[in-house]
Amino acid sequence: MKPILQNTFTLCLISLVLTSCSSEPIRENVVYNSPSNISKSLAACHQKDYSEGKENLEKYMSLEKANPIYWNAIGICYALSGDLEKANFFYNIGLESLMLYKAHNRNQAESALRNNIGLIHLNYNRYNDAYMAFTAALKLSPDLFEVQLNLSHLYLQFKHDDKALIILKNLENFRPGDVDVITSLALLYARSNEYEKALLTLSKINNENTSRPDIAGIYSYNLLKANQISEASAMIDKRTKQDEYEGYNQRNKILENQISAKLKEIESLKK
Amino acid sequence: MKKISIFDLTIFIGLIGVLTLFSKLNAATSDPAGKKWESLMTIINQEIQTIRSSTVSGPELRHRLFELYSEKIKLIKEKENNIFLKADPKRIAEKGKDYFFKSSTEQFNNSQNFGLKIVQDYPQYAKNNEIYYALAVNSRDYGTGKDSEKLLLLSLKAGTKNPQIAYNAKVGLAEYYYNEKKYNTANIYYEDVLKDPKNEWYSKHLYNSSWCHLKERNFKKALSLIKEAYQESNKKQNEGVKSQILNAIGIFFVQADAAIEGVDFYLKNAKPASTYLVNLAKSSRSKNDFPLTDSIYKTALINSIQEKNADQEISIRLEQLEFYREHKKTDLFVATAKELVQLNKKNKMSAENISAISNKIKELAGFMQVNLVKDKLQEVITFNKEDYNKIVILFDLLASLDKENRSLYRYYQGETAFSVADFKSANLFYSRSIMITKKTKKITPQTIKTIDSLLTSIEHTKLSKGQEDRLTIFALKNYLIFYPISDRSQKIYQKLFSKYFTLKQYKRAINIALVYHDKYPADQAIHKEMITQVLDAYIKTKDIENLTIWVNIIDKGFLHFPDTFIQNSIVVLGSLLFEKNQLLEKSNKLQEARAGYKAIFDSKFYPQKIKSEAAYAISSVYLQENNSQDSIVWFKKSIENYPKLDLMKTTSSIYNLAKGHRLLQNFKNSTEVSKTILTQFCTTNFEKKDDFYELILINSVLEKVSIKNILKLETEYSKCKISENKISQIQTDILLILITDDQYENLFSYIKSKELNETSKKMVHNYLHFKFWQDPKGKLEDFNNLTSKYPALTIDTIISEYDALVAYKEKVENVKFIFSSEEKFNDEKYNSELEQYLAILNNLTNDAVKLSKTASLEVVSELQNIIPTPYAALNKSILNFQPKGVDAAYLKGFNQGMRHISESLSAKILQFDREKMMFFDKNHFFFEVKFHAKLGTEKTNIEQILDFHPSLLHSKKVELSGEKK
Repeated sequence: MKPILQNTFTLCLISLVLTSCSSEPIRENVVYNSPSNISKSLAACHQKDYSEGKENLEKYMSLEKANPIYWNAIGICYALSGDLEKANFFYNIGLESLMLYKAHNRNQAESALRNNIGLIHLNYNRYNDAYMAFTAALKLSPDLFEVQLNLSHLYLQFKHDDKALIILKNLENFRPGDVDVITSLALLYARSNEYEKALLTLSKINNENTSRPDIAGIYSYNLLKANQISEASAMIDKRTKQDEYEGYNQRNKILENQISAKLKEIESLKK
Repeated sequence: MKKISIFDLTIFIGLIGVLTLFSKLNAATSDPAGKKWESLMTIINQEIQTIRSSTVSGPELRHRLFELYSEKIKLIKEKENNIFLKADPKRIAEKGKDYFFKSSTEQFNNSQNFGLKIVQDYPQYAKNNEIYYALAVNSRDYGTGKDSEKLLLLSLKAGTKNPQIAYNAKVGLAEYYYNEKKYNTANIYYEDVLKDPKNEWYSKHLYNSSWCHLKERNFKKALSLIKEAYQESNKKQNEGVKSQILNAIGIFFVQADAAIEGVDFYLKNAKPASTYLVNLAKSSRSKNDFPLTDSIYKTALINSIQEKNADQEISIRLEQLEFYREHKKTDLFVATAKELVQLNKKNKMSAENISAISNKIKELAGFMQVNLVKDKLQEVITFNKEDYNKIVILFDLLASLDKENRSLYRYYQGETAFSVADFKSANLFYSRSIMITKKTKKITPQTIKTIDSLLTSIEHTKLSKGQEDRLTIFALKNYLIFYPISDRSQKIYQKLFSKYFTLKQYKRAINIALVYHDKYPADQAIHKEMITQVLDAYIKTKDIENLTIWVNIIDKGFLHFPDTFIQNSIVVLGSLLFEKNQLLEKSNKLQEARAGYKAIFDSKFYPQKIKSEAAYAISSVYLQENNSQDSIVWFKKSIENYPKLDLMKTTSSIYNLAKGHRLLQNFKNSTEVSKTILTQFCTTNFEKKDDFYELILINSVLEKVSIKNILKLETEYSKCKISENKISQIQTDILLILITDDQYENLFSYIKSKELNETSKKMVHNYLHFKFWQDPKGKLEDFNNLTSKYPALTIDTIISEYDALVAYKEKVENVKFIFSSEEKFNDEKYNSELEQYLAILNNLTNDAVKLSKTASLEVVSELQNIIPTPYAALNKSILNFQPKGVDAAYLKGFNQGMRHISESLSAKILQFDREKMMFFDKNHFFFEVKFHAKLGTEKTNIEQILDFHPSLLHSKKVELSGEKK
């Protein structure tokens, strides 16, 4: 009799490489079993209901274990909840799962994971690492809107305006009404003193979006530079208080002071 | 044939006058040692005494004394005989018979001498013939009888003629000669005797005379006399002879060739006649006339049946058996035997009769059996089929009659069938014999022969495989029932086991092995092999139920199987038990699979190890069901009783289980599994040991366990013979997590009092370098403190690099490009100053180049930011300088010349900028240090607000749902 100890206990265990217990190759279409679950879970996490999001994802682990998109979703939920260590852990599991992932959107999945890892680097000011992650992501999936946009923001932050412009012009064609693309282009135009062009671009933004602190700021700046002082004043006043844009408060305050000074100057000239 | 003696009567005649004595004498014979004997002896002795004491003497009184002496012989002899009969045989043997009859012999000798003395003293005594006759009778009865003839003849001659004495003497002589086989002489005296038809013994004398004629082969005369004797016996006084005549007359009819007349005679005269007819038939057999004798037997038989005399019927049929056997009339023999068996069934015969019948049947059956096959060496056996059938029937009859030996007769039937190559029948007979033995439990030497014969017969029989197997098993099994221990039993156990095993009758095979073990415990090696074979078969056939039973048995120590064998068997059982559930798992029917494992776990029949494995499997299934909590519960149940050695062999699998918990985001359970295993086997080497260590620590870091506790875990588990490489690698991994998560304070808590490996040192150094350059001024003091605390991290190189940069920057900032301004422009001085300033620029550039050669990217980046500033400053000074005291033409020429220099300086600044970008591109370093700082730390102008664009705020996650686009 042959001992079968190993067989007895090789009981469909999940390994990090996510091989199936039957040692059958992972099917290409295995990915699309529960897209709605992933979306639903992500929605819960975005609504800060992290437990529901993560637990919902947990229910499908066995089914989705070979799916990098699943691991990406878990990573996102952890990132949104502020646990970047675990987010990074699960993003990396997603990357490992790619070894056997043969679906058509493999590159897109890897691109997503690398982009999101790049965001973690960005969070800790590791700009070079973030840049490397974004460019790697873009190389895998050049058309992925978010990655292109992220790279353009990085360029904008570090004033590689010409590179940012190329990307943003491309994105403008792809999504003409995207508020982030428009705002970023407006910033670029302002930096090159093309205020009218910037205002023309900003005019495409829906009125309701102009209350966003960053948008109100850049809009107002261009109006100021175009000598539309009262409009600039009206625009800066439109901004609302939004926590995530808190970083813009100081900038907008400077701008507001400048506009106020200019208005006073005009008022005194009138007198 | 016994003749009637009349000597006794003569004694009484002689004593006719002593009636009292006669009556007492008769009484005394029935009581030889009693009072009556004493009384009689007293009377005789008193009379003797009386005669002796008489003064008168003469032949009459002496004759009387002789009669009394003769009577006394009889009394003494009776008493002696009584003593003799009661005597100890040993004493008889020791003393001899004569010793017991001394007195009577003495009395006899005295009496005879006394009688002879009378006839000698009184030769003319008229009753000498009586005395001679009495002497003859005494001689015959108490002596040797040698002188009887002489004394009887003297009796005929002596004394006064006495017809009665003469008659008695002649009868005596006839009988004497008859006894001496002198039949003709005897008949001479009988002829005289028979002349008196009125004699009360006439019939008897006729009868005796007929015998003498028969002996002399005068058959017709003999028949005639005996028939007359029978006629005479019808008279009242002769009745005593009648039965003797009826018994004897058959012979006379036969000898006179008048057997048929004899049948009629008996039928007419004898009631019941059958008894005499049988005798007649017996006598008839001597004539060798089968039909005649057979007809007599049949007549006798009919008669007995009519008489409803069963005993007689049996007796006749027995005679017939014998008769038919003699004449080889086997059909009739068999028919008669059948009748006898039927009779026995109706009315149970006596054991004697049954034995007699059986013996006769056996005799013939045996004879026929021996002669059935003439030449057994012939390839084609020839035999009489009728005889074969008869033999079989005879043994059937025997079996019916002699139930005690039924098994034997079936065996004989088998042997008969075997001898004529009727193997199928032989098999049947042998089997029946065995069955009977089994039922009666009467084992004889023939029993083993029967089994052997059956096995041999099976080999010769053309049987289907199934039939052959059934019969062989039957034979072998019964052998072992009858002979559980014998010189051949061990081999038979093995044969029977093999047979059952080959037929896949595993339960029976194993039972045989058990009996074998019980009877021959010393053959344990063979028993083990047998059990092993059956276990293998159970495995092959996936007979989980029986395998479970046997694995339990051997697990409890039966036959002392090696532990490895037992463990392997348990493993195999486990695999079989789990196989079905594993298939369910593969089909993703996880709840069903779990229920199956649960059933195994709950069952009390399986070994503990299997139950532990089942619990483990449940844990695994729960994990597949994404239920980490229940999985850990079952993991604990599995571990509770899992044999340690076996558990250690499964660590690779358990490691995967631990990782599974982590994939279910349950890092605590993953850690708990890992801790359980590592704690249990801390001091032992096992597969994945280092990896469990890794899980414990990395999970804990990811779970944000305090650094203090992480260090405790490291200390605790690194003692478990974890490889140095793994410890070092995990240290690096922990640092990487802390660095990645920018846990600056925790990092120092972790590395405090820890000796880092080279990789870790480099990694921490780079992290600190990065941290420093995010805020060099802010970090400087802190880093200066760290330098002495962590010399291995070479923080001083970061600081010294920074110091060098700051020094360089200060140097650059301290350079002032101011041209001397005099009332009258001194072009020589101006040129000299310009040359000097250009040389400074050159020196600053060279210094920067020199500095950048060993500097970090951040320093080089900063240098590339600094180096254009003096160029710009000089350029500005040149452009701002206006010579005094010169004419317009000079001034124009001067300005034109300075513009060239300014352009050259501007070109240089642009070149620096290009070089910087090239450097960034080359080193993938795009985002300078200075922009790390947040906006608003310094006073900002309106244009500078455009610089503020935090990419993190605007960046977006890529969220794929998996939906097709």
